[in-house]
Amino acid sequence: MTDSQGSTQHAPPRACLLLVAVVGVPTGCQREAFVDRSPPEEEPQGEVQFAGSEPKNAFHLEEGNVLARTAFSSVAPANSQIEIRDFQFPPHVRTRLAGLPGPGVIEVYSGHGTLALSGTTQQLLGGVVKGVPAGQALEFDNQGDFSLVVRVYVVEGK
Amino acid sequence: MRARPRLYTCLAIAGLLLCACTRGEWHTYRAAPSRDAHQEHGSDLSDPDRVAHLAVGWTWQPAGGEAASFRASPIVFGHKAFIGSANGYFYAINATTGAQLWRFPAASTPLVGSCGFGGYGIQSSASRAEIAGQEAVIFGAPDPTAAGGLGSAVLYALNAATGALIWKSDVVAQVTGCTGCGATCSSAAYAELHERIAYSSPLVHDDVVYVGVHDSGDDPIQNGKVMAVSLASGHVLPGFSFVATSTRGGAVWNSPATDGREVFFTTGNTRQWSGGSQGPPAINHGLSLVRIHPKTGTIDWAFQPVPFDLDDDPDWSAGAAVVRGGEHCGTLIVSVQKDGWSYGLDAKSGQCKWQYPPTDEPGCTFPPGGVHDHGDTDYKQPGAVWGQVVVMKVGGWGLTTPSGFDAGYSHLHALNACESEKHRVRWILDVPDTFTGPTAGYTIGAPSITGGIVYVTTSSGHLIAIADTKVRPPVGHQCTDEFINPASVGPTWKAVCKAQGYKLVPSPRVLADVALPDGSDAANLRSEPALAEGRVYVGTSGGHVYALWPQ
Repeated sequence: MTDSQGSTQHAPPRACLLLVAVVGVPTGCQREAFVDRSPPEEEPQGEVQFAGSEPKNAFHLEEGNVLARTAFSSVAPANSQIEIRDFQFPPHVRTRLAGLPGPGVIEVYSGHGTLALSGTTQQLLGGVVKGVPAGQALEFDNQGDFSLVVRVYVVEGK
Repeated sequence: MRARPRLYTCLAIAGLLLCACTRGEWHTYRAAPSRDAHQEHGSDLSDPDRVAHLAVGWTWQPAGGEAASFRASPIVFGHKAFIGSANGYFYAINATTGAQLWRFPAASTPLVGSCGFGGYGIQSSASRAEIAGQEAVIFGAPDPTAAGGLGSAVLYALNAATGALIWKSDVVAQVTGCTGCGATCSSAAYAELHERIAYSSPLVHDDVVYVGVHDSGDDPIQNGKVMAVSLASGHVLPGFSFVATSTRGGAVWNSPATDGREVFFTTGNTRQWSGGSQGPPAINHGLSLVRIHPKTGTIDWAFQPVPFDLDDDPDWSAGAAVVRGGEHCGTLIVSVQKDGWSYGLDAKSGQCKWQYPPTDEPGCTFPPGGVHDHGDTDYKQPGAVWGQVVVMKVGGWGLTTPSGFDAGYSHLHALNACESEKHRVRWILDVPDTFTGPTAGYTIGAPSITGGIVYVTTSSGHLIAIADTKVRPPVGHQCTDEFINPASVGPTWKAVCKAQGYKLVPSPRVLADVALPDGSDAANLRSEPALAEGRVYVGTSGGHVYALWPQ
């Protein structure tokens, strides 16, 4: 590259590169498009520790992959016992529970299905409340894709 | 003589580079007016190999000896960090060395009101602005010289270089008396105004500054507002008005956001006053994610998933974040309500694109008489946005179990905002080193992200860095129902998770877990790590600001 006076002009480009390098390199200047749209490809392997607080009244596994817990239990007046139990029934499965030790009330938290009791079948949806007598087997049919979650309030005479 | 033009070109290129680099700053709460908490400029903080060496580089506490406590988060620009304290002072710190540069006010007259409703100091994270050629920093605080000094609040605009006052706005939140409610609210308490701007970082957008107005612990509940002042003068704009209801409620506990055109925010409850026995207000934009017209404050749309009848105080307090979903997905506004349910809404129409966990109810709204908890719970932290991935403290399927409101308190979820329901959850992390006592709802602050690496502070005084599953392979997995885990169900938990219809999703790798030296709460209500110029800046309730970088 030659200017009108015939002198070679290598210096400005070199200086320019140097200046750009001085400005750009130490600051690690790089615009990156940190955009990733794809979901994880496959289920990972391995194990992690549960870091949160230990759950109170944790669920435990019962027959038929039913998760159950006793959320509350207390002695009540007139020599009775009150219990609040939670159940999670797996999807697309019919599950039979033994009869309750006393009369109870069931409240559906989420999911949908049916409850068969004493030869009748009743629809269960979130928010539905039903009374159930003591000692009769309860057959839950979870017709959804996720757990049918039910809370049961039981009053047991001693 | 062509050397001179070349020199200019060269200087211009260098200048552009320098300019581009200094743009790796953090100009407001959640980084930018879109409130995405995303540092898009690469640095050591986006290099997973370097992040493993994260350590405290400098520590600062006020030079004047005053006891500070930081509930606001730092912002960083021009190689300075700025932060206000609950003690009523605002500070500028040399971001390189940690030396204090200036304090406002310089005199010993902190910005606090004389009554409790105005005694909160500076909890509003600041925002950068340019005012008449000056680089400025704007924040909200009580003005001890306004309206009898009870604690009516204004916005302050300061020269960022010197701390000199550029303007003090008209009053934007009024405290007109100090009568609390106690067990029942007296007519005197209802007659007074107890407004605050503690939790709202100003939004600077098109020569206007917006700030949200809320109450003081619902004592008693006030009518929510967004106030708008002129960026040039600080005067309230006469043509702008947003009030949330025709009576009380709908507090704006968060920082308004913008997609570059409209303004978005969320509002609090409307029922929890007068014993909750009164009917719904005729105009009720409480518990909503709202879009308003930026010039007038009129509502374009409002999305209210929890109806008045189910309002047990699930304030929608996290605020809005903007996701730019591209052609197929459009622009989404994402947030989590205090009850733990999260949403992605179409920015144009307000239509609910998704709800997580999904209830399959029309329009993502809960039917009256439903059984889920919509109470005073603690999902109050906004999410960080990385492309179309949103990282946020939300509840998962555990929310659908009885008393399951706390299912996600220590969990960060990464949600794919533009994917189908099947692929909504990208990963879940049960964040380590969080406090698990009675205030376990405030275990983690608001996450920030750069290059797929998430930074979040915890209530036990830690800074955690987490690698998205594209940055580093996951280390295991979690069930999308948080109650199904090894501690709860035992060794068969993975099989149970699948049998119950839930998914096992990746659990991402923790790259760094740094204990901050003062050991105090670094999460607060929704504190965030500011990611700027290759460093992480964190303020703690113990009164320190820390700068960390890989060493």
